[in-house]
Amino acid sequence: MANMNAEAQAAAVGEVETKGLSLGKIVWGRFVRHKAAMISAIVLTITILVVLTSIGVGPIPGWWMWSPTDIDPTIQNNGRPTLQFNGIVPSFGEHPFGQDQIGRDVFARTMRGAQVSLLVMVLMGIIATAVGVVIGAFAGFYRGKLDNVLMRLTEVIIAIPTIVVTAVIGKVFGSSSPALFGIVLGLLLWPGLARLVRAEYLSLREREFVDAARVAGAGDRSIIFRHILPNSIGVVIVNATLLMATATILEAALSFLGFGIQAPNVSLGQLINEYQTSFSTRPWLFWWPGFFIIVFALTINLIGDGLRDAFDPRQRRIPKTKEMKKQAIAKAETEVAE
Amino acid sequence: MSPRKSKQADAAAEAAHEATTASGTEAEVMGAEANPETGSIPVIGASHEVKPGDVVLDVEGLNVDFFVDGAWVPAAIDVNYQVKAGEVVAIVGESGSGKTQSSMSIIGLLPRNGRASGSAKLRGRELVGLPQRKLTSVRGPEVGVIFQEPMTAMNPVLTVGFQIVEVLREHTNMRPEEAKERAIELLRLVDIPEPERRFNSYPHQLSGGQRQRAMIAQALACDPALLFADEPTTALDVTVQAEILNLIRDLKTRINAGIVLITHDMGVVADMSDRIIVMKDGRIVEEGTSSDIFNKPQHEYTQALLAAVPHLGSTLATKDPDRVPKDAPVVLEAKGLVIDYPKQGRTPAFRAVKGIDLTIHEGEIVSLVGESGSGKTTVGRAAVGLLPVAEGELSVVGVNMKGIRKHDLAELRKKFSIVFQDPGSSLNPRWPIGQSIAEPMQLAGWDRERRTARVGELMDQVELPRSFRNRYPHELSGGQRQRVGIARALALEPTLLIADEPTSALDVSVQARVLEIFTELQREHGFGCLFVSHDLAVVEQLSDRIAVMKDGVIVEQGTTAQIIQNPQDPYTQRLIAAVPVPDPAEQERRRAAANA
Amino acid sequence: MLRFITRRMITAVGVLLAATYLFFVLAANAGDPLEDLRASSQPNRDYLIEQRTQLLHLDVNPFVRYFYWLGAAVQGDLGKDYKTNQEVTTMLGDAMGQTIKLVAFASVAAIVIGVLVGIISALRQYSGFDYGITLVAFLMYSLPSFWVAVLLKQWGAIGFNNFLADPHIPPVALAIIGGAMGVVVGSAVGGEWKRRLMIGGIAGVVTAAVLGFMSATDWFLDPGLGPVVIFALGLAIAIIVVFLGIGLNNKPARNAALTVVLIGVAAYFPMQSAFEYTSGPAALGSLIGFIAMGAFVGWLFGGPDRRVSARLAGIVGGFMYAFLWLDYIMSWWQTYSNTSAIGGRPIATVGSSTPELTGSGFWIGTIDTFTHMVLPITALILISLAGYTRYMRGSMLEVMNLDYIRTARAKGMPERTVVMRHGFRNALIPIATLIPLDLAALFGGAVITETVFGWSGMGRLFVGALNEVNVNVLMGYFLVTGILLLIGTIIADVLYVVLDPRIRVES
Repeated sequence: MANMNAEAQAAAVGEVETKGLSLGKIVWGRFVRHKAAMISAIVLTITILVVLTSIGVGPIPGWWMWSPTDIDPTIQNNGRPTLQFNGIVPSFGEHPFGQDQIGRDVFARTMRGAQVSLLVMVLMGIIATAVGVVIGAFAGFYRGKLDNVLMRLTEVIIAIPTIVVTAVIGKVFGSSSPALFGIVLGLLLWPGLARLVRAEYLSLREREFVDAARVAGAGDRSIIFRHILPNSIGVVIVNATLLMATATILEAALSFLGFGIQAPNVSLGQLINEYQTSFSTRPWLFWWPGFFIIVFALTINLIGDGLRDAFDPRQRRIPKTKEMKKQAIAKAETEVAE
Repeated sequence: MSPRKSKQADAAAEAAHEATTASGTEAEVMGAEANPETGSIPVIGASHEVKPGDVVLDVEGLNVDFFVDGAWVPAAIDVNYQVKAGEVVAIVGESGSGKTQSSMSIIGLLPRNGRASGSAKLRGRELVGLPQRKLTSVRGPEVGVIFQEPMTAMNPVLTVGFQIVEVLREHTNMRPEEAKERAIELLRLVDIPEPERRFNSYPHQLSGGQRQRAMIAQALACDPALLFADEPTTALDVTVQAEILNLIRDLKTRINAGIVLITHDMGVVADMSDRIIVMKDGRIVEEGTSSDIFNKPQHEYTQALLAAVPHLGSTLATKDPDRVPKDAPVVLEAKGLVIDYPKQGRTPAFRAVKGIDLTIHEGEIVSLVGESGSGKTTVGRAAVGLLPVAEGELSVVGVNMKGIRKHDLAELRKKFSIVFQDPGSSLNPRWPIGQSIAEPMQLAGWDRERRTARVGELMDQVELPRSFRNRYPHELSGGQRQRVGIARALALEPTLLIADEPTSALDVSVQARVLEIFTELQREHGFGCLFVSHDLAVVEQLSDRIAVMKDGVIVEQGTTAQIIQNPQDPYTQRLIAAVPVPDPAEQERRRAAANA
Repeated sequence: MLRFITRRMITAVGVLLAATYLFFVLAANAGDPLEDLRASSQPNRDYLIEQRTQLLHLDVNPFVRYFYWLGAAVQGDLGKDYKTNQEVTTMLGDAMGQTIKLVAFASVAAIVIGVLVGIISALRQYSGFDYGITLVAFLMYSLPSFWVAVLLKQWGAIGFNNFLADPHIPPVALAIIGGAMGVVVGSAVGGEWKRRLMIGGIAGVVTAAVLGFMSATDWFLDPGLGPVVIFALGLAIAIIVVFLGIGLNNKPARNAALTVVLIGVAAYFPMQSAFEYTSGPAALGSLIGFIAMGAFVGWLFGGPDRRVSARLAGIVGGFMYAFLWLDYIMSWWQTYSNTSAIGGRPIATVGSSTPELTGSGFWIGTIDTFTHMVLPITALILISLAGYTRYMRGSMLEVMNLDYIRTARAKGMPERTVVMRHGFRNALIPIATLIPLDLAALFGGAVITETVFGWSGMGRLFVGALNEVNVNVLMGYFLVTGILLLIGTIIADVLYVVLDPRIRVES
């Protein structure tokens, strides 16, 4: 029998919480209750929408008046941001994020940078997850020689400090296309995820439902992908999100050092690199891209944490003492009334 | 040596002044007194201040609630009972009955969202509502607790000896050397061999039984007046369980404490208790002396509970040795079967089954009985192809399993199936149960229509509503989940069914129901069955023949009647003697016969 | 055990070979080492190109070129930097020394603070403190290090230096800081709200009072502690150490710790003269001396738990020395600040030392190093802290929910013992195995931080080398960091076996 907490709560709670719900709905329900994660999800969605639609993507135009390369010859306000707050209501003006030394609109540039950073992050996330899951699953499931080989490979990649290898890669690929950069990053960052997936498979393969499936006649592939994978989806999703958050910062750092996205391509880190010398004179050039990096990283981290809590069956919300006392009084009152 | 006043005496004095007593028992402040049982080291413990027959625990109107999802859910309602020094009170109930929660709440060990109200007086001192800081001086010297899982209940990085010594040094003024001596005494008291050496052992270096003994020693360290034993033997093998029960009964007479035994096992209850309290859904439904409850149960729940408990020897009269024709086809045949358990990480491969002979005919139920490590589960797994045959012969449904090729095994798998022990983990938590039941058929190539129809049929047979097919395992109770497992096993009309401890993880009444369904189905479908279990009473109920395993070999096999009534091998005899029978009078007779 | 280590080392060497090979090929393709020469208009350009090509074996395919490098490396020759002609080994040595300074301090601080905060956070799960800390930790996780670095430069250096010009804290700021301190301490303490209000209030008022005092007396220009403050600090440390270690009820431990504090205070004036002649090694020796003195006192006081007393008193002794040392070095602050090179703006933003001040003596040199280290170390701490806090919190939460914690409570052990001896001891195991890896990774150079702060450590070495495609330097760098990481993994495994008896027996 598990420990006191789990047993006592299971006895009292068990059916109450989960009646008639599939796992997806339960997880969603728990996620929604995690305030920080929900707020982050909303903020992130809004941000992404703005980022994508404001200056448009590819051939699709956006609604913002300036494009990232337009040069506005009239320097307004000494290039300072024209964003003002009359009380709470903001008025945006022509250049809410200001202008840089040659007159380009910082808002547009930041949006473009955000788009590129997002692209890199998403590509990297997808590839790293796919590779990591497959390698981890096979290593954990088959164990033995295959596991050894795969784990040595993982160790080799881990042995190289991330920033070092990505810097080298960045120098080679970064100047070409951001998409390529994202893909290559993905091919380098899967070991962490692989390790975790492997651990999941190592423990799950011992569970009886795997034996039951075998006796029913299931083959290896079926067991790996149809049986065990759905049970590890929690770990995968959570860590994929955290990986993406790390990737955002990593890409920014690399671009800042000059090894990632380089001019004329624009990314958030590249912008900071480009503008770092003007920090004392035009600090807004530095603030806005950094701000967006933080927004992305923070919201994704918090969402990841919310997902982690939502997937973990042990995480029961222990209520606040105040809440409990209030309810106790309410209950006592109703009893007296009866 | 001059008596030394210990912290315990101070606390007792404080308690005496604070206590508001109903029954008028006041704690006496005493100087140290040598306990003749444990040697000349002076220790103050509450048990020395208590005479046999004194009321040690007085529970009145105890309520326990848990705050879940915004509301208080009751776990125990209006619990009343008393425990006297030197007596064993058993609190019996199934999961969810509130037996553990009510006891834990008395000593303040509820989780943060639990609360207790009402009264529980330990030697006149009110415990409910006492702040944690005061409770720490009560736990240990006044109350000891023995938990169920000794492996996880002890700190793995501290030695066994240290964990006992720390209790002693916390509650008394003993010096380290004195505490060590006393700890070794205690280890000796609980019959741990080589106590000096074991003092420096870590918990994982001890066997299950020894760990539990160490826990008992730890709980008794400060001579408490009350002992809570929460399922102390459930995690142990039958023979080990018998030893531990003997120990506790022995201690009962020597240490003069009241014991609250919390358990669901009626056999254990019959063996140990003076008084019994039956709980269901948080309430006490019946209480009385041991013989009252067992012989004249009043409440219908108690009656149902007792009826559901398998009673060794009770079904022998109904056994028909010719139920299965002698010339029925053989579905499983093992000759000199040897199976090796593969290397798992650090633990090397070892020989789990060392050569057994076993035959199962179509339509008969043969049980394989043994304790943990006997190899019985290994045989079951080899029969379904989960483990390879190392040496000897094993033929299942006429096909030789040794060195069988993957393709042939896949074909063969349509002819047999297995029901696992833990219904919680033998169903994929992410699959709706309908899909789990249908899996064997889907892998055998049945089309969707046929599958759906058959799933419905099977669910009817195991008496589950068809509407459950889209539910997930966590939404079903243990018994329902196990029925799903049975349905899945029957999907392809197997000729041989392996049942690996299918009811060990279930409550007694649920177990009875599942076994009933299982027996019916076996009669109907006529498959041969290898029933693996450690529970002789359950095995007796449904099997035609029994084989007893120990250390990888079959020590004895024969018809059910033969084995139960007339065991030849000494191990079998020990095994049967160790099974607690849910009848106190009979249990006493057996004990007397065993000790003679 | 020995077999285990040797086995791991052999595998490690194999992994290292594979990794270095991979890296070499990557590095070689990262750019063109002849780029600058090709663009130059010098007359002997072709000759120079030829020369460099010979030097770097650029005519050979990278896949084969590796073995030239390997052959030399195995003999201890890592080649030369083609730009400056320095031996790679010397370059690495210098850079390593610089990086160690940063990493050692930052890691120790991050670990200690992280563990502490993580434990408190776990114990007060779901409280305001917990949520607050979690949020802050996430924020710090999500901050790009260069952003933080630039901010620190702005506020930490420029801002602080401006503050020093007129070091008075306005009363409003005092109130705010005191209030904030009170809130944090109050929510960390736990218990009924009255107790928390009281303790939080005291903490807040004390903080504000101390800061106010410091402001009024221009303390920031000429800081110092003085015997009274040292006594108070020593007392506080003694109480905390004894409480956590064995509980305040233990008389011998208490008295021993107190005695050590008094000895430390009594040593104040003698130490002033002793310090004048101190240098680096002597300081270390004195530290050890104080710790030994403390341990000895603890032992003398006896009691049944002499060894624990000795240990605790030794810790207190070490702290007393630290306080005395701090006080003395503070006395040099004003002198330092007023030197022409510094000119009243002590916190530096770039570099690891002020060149004009080399040879000014041990104390000035130490302060100088300190003022240059303070910002990069803060940046590093902020980033590592988040990780350690979360890990410790997670580990502690997991452990506190296990069965044996309930058993410990059921035995009547006081909460302090349950948390420290049963909870913390077990929760520390996974963290302890994490630390070697983390340290090793950090040695690879906090690349960003070093770049922004102009610190010539391993990180900067790497960035420079990569920009120039200086393969020899890159390989040297990679070899060192790779070896460190693999050693770190092995140490982590060994630690695991040492700390967890369950694993010990089986191996």
